[in-house]
Amino acid sequence: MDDKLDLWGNVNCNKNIASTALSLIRGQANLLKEKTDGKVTASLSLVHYQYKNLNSEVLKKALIAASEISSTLCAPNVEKIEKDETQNLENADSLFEKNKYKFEIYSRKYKFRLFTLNYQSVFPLRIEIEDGILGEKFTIEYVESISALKQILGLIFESDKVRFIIKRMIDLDKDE
Amino acid sequence: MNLLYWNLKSNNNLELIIADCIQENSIDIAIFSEYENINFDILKRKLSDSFCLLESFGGCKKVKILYRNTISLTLIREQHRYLLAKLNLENKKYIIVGVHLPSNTCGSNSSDRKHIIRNIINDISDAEKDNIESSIVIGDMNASPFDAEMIEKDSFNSVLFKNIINSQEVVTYLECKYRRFYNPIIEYINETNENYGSFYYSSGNYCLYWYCFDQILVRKNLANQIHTFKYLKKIKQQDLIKKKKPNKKISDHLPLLVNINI
Repeated sequence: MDDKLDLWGNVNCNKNIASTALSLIRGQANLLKEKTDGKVTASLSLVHYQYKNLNSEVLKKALIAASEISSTLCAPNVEKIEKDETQNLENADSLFEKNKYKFEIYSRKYKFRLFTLNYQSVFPLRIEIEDGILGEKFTIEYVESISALKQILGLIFESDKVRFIIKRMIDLDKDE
Repeated sequence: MNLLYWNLKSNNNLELIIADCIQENSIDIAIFSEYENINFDILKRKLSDSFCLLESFGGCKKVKILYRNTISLTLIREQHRYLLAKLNLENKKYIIVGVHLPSNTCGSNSSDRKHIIRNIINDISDAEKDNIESSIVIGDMNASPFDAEMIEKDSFNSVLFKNIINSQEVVTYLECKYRRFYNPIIEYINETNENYGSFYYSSGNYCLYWYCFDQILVRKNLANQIHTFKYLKKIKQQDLIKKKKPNKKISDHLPLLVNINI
């Protein structure tokens, strides 16, 4: 019978969670400093394209207040909508983390970005690899798992361009 | 300060004409693209070793900077299509960004350029946290001044009118704030001097003939400090124009000369 059909599966299990991706990448960032005796460091940091963010929570509360005032002032012959069960519950969309990160290598004076990561709580993750590393033009890769992420990181870190830049950063540090 | 930007079309044997251009126009900082066949050692010798090359780490393959050795210029960041350098002048610091964005002829489009531009803006914003007086972006944008990638708020966010940037430097769009650049081009493109553009292309149904691909953008506080903006058509006795368009044996781009009071 269709009313007995359970399409939810095991609701307590999600094999696709990408929560360890950031710690994996940060771990690799920390390793670079050791491998270059502190001359070249790497970091994973949030990208802020905008000059400054407005506080969107403040805006949301203002809109909610405006909406409540409006409903209080509405004409008495407007149809009354009954409260639903979700009315006072918070939208859980914010639990699904989405952020943009950049992975950069840097020395005392110089920086170079290797890739940008569009991070979200579940796979796939989108990685935008800078021009000239895996191809003349910037490359976009979608990684479906931690093992795929390890593979793509390996390709990036071992690319001729990245190796060359790191070596230059080490050599120029010696000269100073 | 005199800035020069020139896309050299990967031509060779240009060292003498480049040196003439630099000397004739008292250039302080010269930025080049498509420079693969230029021997910079020869060029520096022709300039009596009064210029140095900004040393690259290998991160940028599209832009090179030659600067007068009395100037303090430091490379702070490279990416494939642009580089950021810090200019120290009398206790003030400026960011100079040399750019060569991809063209439609190499399979790219406006979206590709916007992708790179957003990274440029992010990198400039990072660099500007270091007590920077102002920023200057100069290069081959492979876009016209009024194209989307130049004017969209989440792209270069450049405005063509002084009173617009003077009235509001930072704008809000979709809850985010974006800082503007000023593009001085419309003050200088005119019939009087036949200052039409830097690149000529006449094919296709939709065609502007002259394109102002090579541009400069500055922050608000430099908007009134630009005194010259010229696409050079002659260097000493050498005409850069042949049959009404750039002489491709020299380059398919005319050099851009800008004098800016900093």
